[in-house]
Amino acid sequence: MKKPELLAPAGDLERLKIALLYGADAVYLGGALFGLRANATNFTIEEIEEGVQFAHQFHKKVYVTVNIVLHNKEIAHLIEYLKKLDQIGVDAIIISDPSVLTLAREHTKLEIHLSTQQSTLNHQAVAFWKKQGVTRIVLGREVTKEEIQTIIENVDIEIECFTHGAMCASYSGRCVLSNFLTERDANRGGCSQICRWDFQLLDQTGEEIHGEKNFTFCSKDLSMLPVLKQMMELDITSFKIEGRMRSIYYIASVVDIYRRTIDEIWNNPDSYAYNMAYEKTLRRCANRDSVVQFFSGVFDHTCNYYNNREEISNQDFLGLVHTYENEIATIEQRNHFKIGDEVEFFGPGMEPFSMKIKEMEDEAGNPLEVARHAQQIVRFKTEKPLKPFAMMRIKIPVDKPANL
Amino acid sequence: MKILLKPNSINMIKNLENYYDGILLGVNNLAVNVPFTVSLEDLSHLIPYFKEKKKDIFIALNKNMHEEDLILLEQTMAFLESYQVTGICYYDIAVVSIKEEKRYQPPLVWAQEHLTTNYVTCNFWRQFGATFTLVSGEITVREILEIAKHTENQLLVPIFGYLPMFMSKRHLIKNYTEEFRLTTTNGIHFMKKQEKKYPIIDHECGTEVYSAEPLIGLREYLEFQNQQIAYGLIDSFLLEEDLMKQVLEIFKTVNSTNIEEKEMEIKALIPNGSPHFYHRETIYKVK
Repeated sequence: MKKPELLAPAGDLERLKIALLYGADAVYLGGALFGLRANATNFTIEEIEEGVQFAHQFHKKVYVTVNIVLHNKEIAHLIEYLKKLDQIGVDAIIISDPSVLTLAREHTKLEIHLSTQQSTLNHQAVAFWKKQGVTRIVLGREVTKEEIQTIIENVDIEIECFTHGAMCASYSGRCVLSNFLTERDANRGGCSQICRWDFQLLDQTGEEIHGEKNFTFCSKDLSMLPVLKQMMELDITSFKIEGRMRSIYYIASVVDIYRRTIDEIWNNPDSYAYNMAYEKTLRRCANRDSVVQFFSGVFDHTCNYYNNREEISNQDFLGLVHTYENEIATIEQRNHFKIGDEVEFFGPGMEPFSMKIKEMEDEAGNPLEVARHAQQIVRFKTEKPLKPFAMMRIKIPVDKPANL
Repeated sequence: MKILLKPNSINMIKNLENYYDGILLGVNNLAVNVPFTVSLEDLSHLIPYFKEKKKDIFIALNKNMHEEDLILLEQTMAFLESYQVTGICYYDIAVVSIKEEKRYQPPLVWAQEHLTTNYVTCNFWRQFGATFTLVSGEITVREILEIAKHTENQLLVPIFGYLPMFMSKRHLIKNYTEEFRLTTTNGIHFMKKQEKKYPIIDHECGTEVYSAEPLIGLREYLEFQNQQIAYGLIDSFLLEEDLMKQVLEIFKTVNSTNIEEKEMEIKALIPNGSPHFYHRETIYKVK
């Protein structure tokens, strides 16, 4: 068994730092152009450079997505961008359009990973890309455990698999619902997630077929936590978490849980036991149900999310620790909390602990009953030390059922 | 510019043979986004028939291929090697890999639908035997002509018919009916939103969804002819044979002096036709 890389999304510099501090071995991010999340904050070249320097000081990696499907007019700008990425020292680019492969090979020495957008699902396709100099393949999300095994047995190349996060309803790259219904190009970063809309379903005669909830393509999110040990036994190189547009709380929570689980399996493979508390934490920080799906060969109705778009907004995240001095934590409020609340702290390199807030004060030192304002700075004594970037959340009840 | 037809039945192939220059057929279990598929047995009769009629023959093997599909794919490509078809349409790169490995002759058609959008990539795939490109239905006429200018690949351009929008391995109609214990028939359904109905089919390969309106590119067909684009692709999905005959007749007889009249004729036949993305670009950055 090889220890996999834990690869996390970085929507901006803050999320990049959070992901790496909470235990990711590498991050992937998009620049202002050429990425499939055109409406995310994304990174300027200067920010990419800062992110790379931050990551490299911890011997961690940064991959940049250049994974849109190019139109003719975009090609000219691409060469300059690729050269800059090469100069900065990014560890790899993630591409889907082979024109990027051609230009990267002609003008740079960048390492090339192939995006899930190319929907690589079999060893013949993997073998082809290896011959073109691609060093890693992000497999399509429709592969089963047996298919991954066959691919790895047949082709000696790095394999990356999605492990957690949102799922497309279609084969990646094979959906332009967004183009037709909203004129936003799904393959150039403008996807408007039509797959999550409701539709009326009509049969051939025009009669509506209607259940308790509306017809939709919306799929549940992916969570491979229950099968992570099986994934590690396959020798997959990298476990990818989806979610460049997710919050820092989501990133921190998900990375933290997967880091702990990978390390537990790696350190004690024979005595590893699945941790339901981890699963509960993951369920609470998501806004949709999550299941294993194709890996286990399952893609039936249990993988669809028929909830009339009633996605639950998470209110668990309460604050971000800025500093800790003389037993006092300085915290930036991210959701309403007050004296008497039972809260939990978690963060990089620490065991989570919970406590009740007994007293607190505002930035000016005035006593405070309630932290009600967004990003308000408050201070209070905590029962254990904290590091910067640790987070505070509602204490998750042990005996309550999972959120979703 | 040759007319390439995607027929929806064996009868249509034979009854409309005077109206097309080439045919595009999908093979059972290996093709998607085609109106119907045929077996290798069918092809063993049809290919000689087409050759006798001097028709170009394109075969679609354009499904996303899983490991379990590879044996059938290899067998099918070996079969096609012995028949020397005009071109094989692929989506999955396994087709390219197998062609290279076995040194098969028939040229490939780069047919990755929504990904076939620029000339650099056309030329990339040309190195591996894809000397044809089936261009995306979501790029403009200007972009298509620019591709034509910068590649030696022969282009297949959609000019008429419902356009594919979505392909999933999931069985989305079956999943819905199972979840809520509903019953429905097999075959084509429709998803309705804001008064538009999008055809949706759930079959053994997964779920396909199509545009609410058929593409009509009659005027653009003349422009493509002038620029010597190789093939105009006409798709008969969801359309009756008699209607297709009239549509094909219009494309066959249109020229620069009767274009207005022909446009009115085709609009009378297909009132909900649309030029789709021929003259409008999509956006992708809204903030």
